[in-house]
Amino acid sequence: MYFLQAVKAGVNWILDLGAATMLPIIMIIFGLILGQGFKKSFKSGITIGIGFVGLNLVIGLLSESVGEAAQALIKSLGINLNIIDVGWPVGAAITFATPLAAILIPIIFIFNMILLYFNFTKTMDVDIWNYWHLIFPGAMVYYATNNNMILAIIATLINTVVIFKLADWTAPVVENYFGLPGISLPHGETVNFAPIMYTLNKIEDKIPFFNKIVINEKTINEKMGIFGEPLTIGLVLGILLGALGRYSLAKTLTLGVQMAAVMVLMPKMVGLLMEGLMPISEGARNFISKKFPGREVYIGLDAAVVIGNPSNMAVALLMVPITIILSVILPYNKMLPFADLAVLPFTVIWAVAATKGNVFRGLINSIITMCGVFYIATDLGALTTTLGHAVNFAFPKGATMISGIDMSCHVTLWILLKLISSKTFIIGLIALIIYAGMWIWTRNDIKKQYKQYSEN
Amino acid sequence: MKNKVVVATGTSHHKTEFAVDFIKDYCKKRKIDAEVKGVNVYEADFNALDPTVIVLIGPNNIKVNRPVVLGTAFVTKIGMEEVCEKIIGYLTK
Repeated sequence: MYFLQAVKAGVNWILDLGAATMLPIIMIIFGLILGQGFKKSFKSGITIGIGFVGLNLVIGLLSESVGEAAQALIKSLGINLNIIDVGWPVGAAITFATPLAAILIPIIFIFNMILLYFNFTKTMDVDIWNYWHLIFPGAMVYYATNNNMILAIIATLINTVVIFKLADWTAPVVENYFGLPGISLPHGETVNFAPIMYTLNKIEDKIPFFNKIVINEKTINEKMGIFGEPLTIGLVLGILLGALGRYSLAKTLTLGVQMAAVMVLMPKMVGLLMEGLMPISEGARNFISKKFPGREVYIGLDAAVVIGNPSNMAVALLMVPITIILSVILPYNKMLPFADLAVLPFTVIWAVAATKGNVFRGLINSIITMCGVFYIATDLGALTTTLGHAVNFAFPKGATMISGIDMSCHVTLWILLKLISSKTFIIGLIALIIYAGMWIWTRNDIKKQYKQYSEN
Repeated sequence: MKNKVVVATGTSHHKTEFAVDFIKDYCKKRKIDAEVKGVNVYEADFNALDPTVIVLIGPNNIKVNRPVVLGTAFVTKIGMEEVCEKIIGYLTK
């Protein structure tokens, strides 16, 4: 009895240390369990801690610069975009900082093994870093239900199954369109849009004239390439925000450079977190390849492996200004797009892949995707902010809420959150039926496209 | 003429660099002298590059008559050594 109490007290003490101290300890233990040795495990654990400290420094800069600019925008133009898109690096950091992450990393890994063993999925997700996408919905459920751990774990596993099945379904596209055989993309923030995108493509196929329009991507990439770079997006957006917020010229230019700095520095800090997780990923890979030798499986990877597709890049580049305009003109939207404008190439992957690279249709589909993203961000902004505060990612007083295009804006998460509350259950159920209906309606479309692809 | 390995990818720059560095280090360990270069599979002019062997991580639009080795192992990080051995096989022919 005393022993159990002592263990519980010890676990609570570690969890209360905060992410920058807690995660290194937990990751060192994970590394040792997966046989990575003390030196490697120790180094990777401490690297994760350093990544968190660095990320907090950049978040301080983000809070000061963007928070104040958003307030100025409200005053000068009356545009009330009080949810700031702080970007996926913050989403990942928040997720790994929740007490759930330490529990869910091994649970998801074991759950994946069980699903593979029973042939329920072919996807073997070895990308431990991107587990944050799978854990995030659980963390949202945890804070939406006053810290109900069991419900959070169940919600995570349900979402995980859906994402794995979506990854299995879309794997032939990864092989035939993107040229990567044996790989699937269980990347929740991207693949969740796939059923909607295939539905749109199916409808577009039936619209006369519209279904004949095909646009080439080459010129767009050549002429707009620089505008897709994080540095340029940050600088231009900072100057634009400063000008619209009626800042002085000096303050406007400073804001531009500060926002460019945030865009460039944030992923570098996250790079340290990723580097720290590498030994854990290596251990997991070694374990899986030993346990499932010779089985036909898809290796689940980050969608970064396909974003270089030229049609995808062209649509993403065009979507940068369109997304900013949409944020202003969409009624009821409250999110100011910022940090995740740099990851639009991820958001639009299935909008473009569903059309086999037709930039025109890809753009239309991406605009529809972004409308959904803005409304989900607006709806879930308060909960996402609660999650941020719960793990001590503090934002300035009286300042804004947080969200992100690549963070809390995906459909499966939104449906889950609606279903767990009695007040919104009916909305969730209707959304679930529509989403499942779209998936069922388009379930054979990828096979048909693959057939056409090989004939061409 | 120096051996040239061209890693042609449609992935992010970071992942291309990982594959290039891994192959470079492996060749160095095996004392094989080779230039390793990463290119975008959608834009590269393979005729001008004149590679000894191409490592492909992306769609196969390659028209030149050069050996092509499938490089997906560098994104899955499983079986990278075996792929490097295949590459070296072409470099030492």
